[in-house]
Amino acid sequence: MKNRQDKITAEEKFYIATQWQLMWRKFKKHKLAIFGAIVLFIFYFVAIFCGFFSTQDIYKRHTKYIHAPPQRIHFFDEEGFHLRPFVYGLKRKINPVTLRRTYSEDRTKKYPIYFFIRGDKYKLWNLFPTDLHLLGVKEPGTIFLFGTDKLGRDLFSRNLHAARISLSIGLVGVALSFILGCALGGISGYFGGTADMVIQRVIEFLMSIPTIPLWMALSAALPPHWPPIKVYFGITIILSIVGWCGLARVVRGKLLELRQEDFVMAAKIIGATDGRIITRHLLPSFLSYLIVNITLAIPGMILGETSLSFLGLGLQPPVVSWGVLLRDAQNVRTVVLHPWLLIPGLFVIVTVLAFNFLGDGLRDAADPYK
Amino acid sequence: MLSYVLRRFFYMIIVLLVVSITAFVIIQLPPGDFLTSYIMKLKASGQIVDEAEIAALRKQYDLDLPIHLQYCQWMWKMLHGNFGKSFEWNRPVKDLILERLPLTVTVSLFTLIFTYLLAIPIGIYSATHQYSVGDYAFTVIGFIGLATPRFLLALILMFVSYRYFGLSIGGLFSPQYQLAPWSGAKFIDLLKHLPIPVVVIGMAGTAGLIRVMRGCLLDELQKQYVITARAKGVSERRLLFKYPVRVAINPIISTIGWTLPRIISGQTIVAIVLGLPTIGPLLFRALVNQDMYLAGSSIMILTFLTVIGTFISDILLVWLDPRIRYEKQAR
Amino acid sequence: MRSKLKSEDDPLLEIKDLRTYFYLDEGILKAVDGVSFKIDRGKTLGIVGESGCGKSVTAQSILRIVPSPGKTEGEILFHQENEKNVDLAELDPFGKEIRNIRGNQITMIFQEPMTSLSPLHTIGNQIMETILLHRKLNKTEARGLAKEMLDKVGIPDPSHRIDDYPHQLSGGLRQRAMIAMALSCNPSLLIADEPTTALDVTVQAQILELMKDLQKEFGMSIIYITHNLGVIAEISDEVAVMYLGKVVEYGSVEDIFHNPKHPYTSRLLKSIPRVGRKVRARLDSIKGTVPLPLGLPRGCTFYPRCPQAKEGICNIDAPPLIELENGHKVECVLYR
Repeated sequence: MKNRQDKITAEEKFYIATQWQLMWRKFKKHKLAIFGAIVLFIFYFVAIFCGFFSTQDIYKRHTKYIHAPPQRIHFFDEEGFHLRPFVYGLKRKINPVTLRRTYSEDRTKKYPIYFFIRGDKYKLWNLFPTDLHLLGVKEPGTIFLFGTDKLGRDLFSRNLHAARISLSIGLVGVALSFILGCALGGISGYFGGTADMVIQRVIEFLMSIPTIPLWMALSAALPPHWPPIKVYFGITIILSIVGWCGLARVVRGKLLELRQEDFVMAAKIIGATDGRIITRHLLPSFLSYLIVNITLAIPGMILGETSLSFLGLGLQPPVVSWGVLLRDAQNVRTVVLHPWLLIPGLFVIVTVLAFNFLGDGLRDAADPYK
Repeated sequence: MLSYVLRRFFYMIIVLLVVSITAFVIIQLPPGDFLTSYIMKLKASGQIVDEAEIAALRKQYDLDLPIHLQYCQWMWKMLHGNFGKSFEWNRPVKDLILERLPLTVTVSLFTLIFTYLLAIPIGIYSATHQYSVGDYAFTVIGFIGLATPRFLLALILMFVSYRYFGLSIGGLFSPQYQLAPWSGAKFIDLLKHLPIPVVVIGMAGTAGLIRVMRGCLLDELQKQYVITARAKGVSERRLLFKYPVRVAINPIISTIGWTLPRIISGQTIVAIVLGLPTIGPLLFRALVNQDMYLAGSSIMILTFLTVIGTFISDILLVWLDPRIRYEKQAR
Repeated sequence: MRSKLKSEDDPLLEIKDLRTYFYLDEGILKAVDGVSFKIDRGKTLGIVGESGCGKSVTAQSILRIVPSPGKTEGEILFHQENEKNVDLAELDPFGKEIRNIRGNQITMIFQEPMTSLSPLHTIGNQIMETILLHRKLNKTEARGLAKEMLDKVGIPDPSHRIDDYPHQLSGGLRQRAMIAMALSCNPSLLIADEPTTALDVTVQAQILELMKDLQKEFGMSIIYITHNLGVIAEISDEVAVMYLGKVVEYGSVEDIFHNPKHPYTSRLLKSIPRVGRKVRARLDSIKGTVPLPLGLPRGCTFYPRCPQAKEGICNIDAPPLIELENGHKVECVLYR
């Protein structure tokens, strides 16, 4: 008898598990998606506290260290292993003919790395003034983990600050697209008729325009005297102009599909109100699809911003985003001499990959019975 | 069938009209009209601007008319082949665009062919060898291809070839052919230069298409009619190509509608990085210099290319799929 | 009762201990687990059971078209006419040998006439494909034969219908086209996997009638798979009752319907609505549902749902196969 009891509970567990439990179970199996989620969590966490994680002020120019290569963190020297990591100083040589600077490690100068060190002042979230950094070296040492740019600014710190802009623009842009997409897709799917016709034609039209030329034209039209924050939102709006189409289509398609479903009909017959049908029956059914589509829409936004800023039509210095940083890498000869200028590109690729993995895993999980 | 084509054609004309309005709006977008910036530029270079001359220019470009009439005038002139003048180049916009249009179409077409030629076989392979090493490899490459911004891929390729092979890639012609008239040798030189831009532009589209093809085919392979054919004794290879591939090709062809905008879009930015003599860099310079007639016309031409391409793919699809063919006829 | 074309004991197909397992991440799914039966020439075997009991997989196993990751083991002896016997279970499922048998000597029709034909090819194209594959005919001859077959299965105006796409035909006509395709090479065995389930009741009767007529004309054996006991009673000579991948009872149609032995068979029979029964009497149903054949407990698989289950016996050991008179077999301890 006990055997029988056990069997039924095990089996019933499968049937009575909620949709979210089933999704979570399926999602856990998708190793790449888990990996993507972890990477993104780390990236966003670092971006939120970018001041703390950077080693110095992003506008500080080290005129003696123009285009300095990344400094390596060492644990070993001639004496052997040190628990406290350190960096060597940089020795600069200037070629008298070409005026090219070359740097090499100066083994005589050793700067130990300290954690939770007081350094350049910054304001956490523009609110709390502090000078605490995760790691750093003491004066007169330098620590350029990703090298420096043509003005001698530390690229490690700049990359972290750029992450804040680039990563957030994806979220803000998707939030805007989401509102637009849900509203218009909802109208289109729920009411149908002329509204549906018009909205569908608009979507088709917007989707048939090549995005980059359109984005280029629109962002070129942003007034040059705008303050950075306005430009930031301007660019997000421009990116969302195309971005909402996909989401609107998903919402509409799903609504149309669900309207035909038996359980919606059943709810109608027992006299549920429209509001109740939407919130209790329709929304849970396609929330998972929305989440998947949102996840997959974010990389497009990030790539868009990066491309525009790279061309010089998007965000403008002194704002730093990955795209703005990549502008320094436009000339291939510069890149050959200073390959570390391409590091922001690596961040873009890893971020977009992580979002795609996550989205893929979520999509698989969204079909729990498959 | 004919009525469907006609209706689709009519719809395309409407879209083109809307595109032209969009382009016109883009021309009007920068603060002030373009003449103001032109005058500013002249003043900046120390030239004296004659008021009468300005008035004449204003008249010539219909800037004294209300906005909707300006649009009509612009359209009217365009239909007669007058796209306005580029201040930056001091040449008619039409000539500038016509110079670059053939190469733009060539690069796009080659990229489109490359995308489909690569994506369809790989998609078939991945679907029939699901979860094999090859499938995983293509999946990973595909993901990276989707994640890499095209301009970055162009940069990386340029970097690698310059750093390790000492070659400077970019452009569509070797220097000696750049200004030479068309000849067989110039054409061969073009073919030699095409692979890198084509691969860079087509990368993301190919990766996306492989996913679509693989997904469609996996769906089709489960279908009952495949089992029917297998139960008839049809060999696996023949079965694969006669039925599911044939069915899965249809959605693939219908994706030209979004592959083409992507290619044109990608081409714009890649051409800027690689310095291709196509419309992309022209548009970029025009936008930076607020050379608005050139910018508006470039966008319009680029969009026209995609809209016309989509129209052709729609017609193709109807011709290929009997289900749609009859459904449309019945309506 | 029915026309007997050949002598009594003339087996066409003998299946011994057929096992088709699906190796999934969650475990081994034993869709078919030790099934044995035989079918004589010109006879009809009905396989009956609830959904998910392994009827269809048994049919797919015979043709070796089980989808991956399914693996088939056991013995499927096919007695070919004027040729030596082959064990279908030994053949490479993608090989030439089995392909020459499929669609030629053993053919199959399916449940969903909507999806079992390719939407992009005309029915003529699909019928001719079978003919061209297995017979030495040229295209014109094949087309002529296809038309003849369409006429035989009762499709009106075959010379026009042959160029129709499946979506232009009704469900009944599509199923007729499927039958035409299945019979075009004059098979010795036709496997019908729920061919009438998706059709309207009137059309169902027509198709059933058609199959009976065609059996008389072509003399093939039929394996008829269904969950509909009424259809089984009408068409079969012998019946195999399947539950969770096993044949729990096997016998002549009379034995199964008038003298059912296995508790499952009797419950199944009681669940048929009958004319002349007490009004408002509740229809008997079998409690519970068919469990997934994944990680089943030891003992009899029907034990959790069986009204006559014996605690300590049925849930401990697998039930023995008991042979009663006239080839009537049952897998149940009650008859030990």
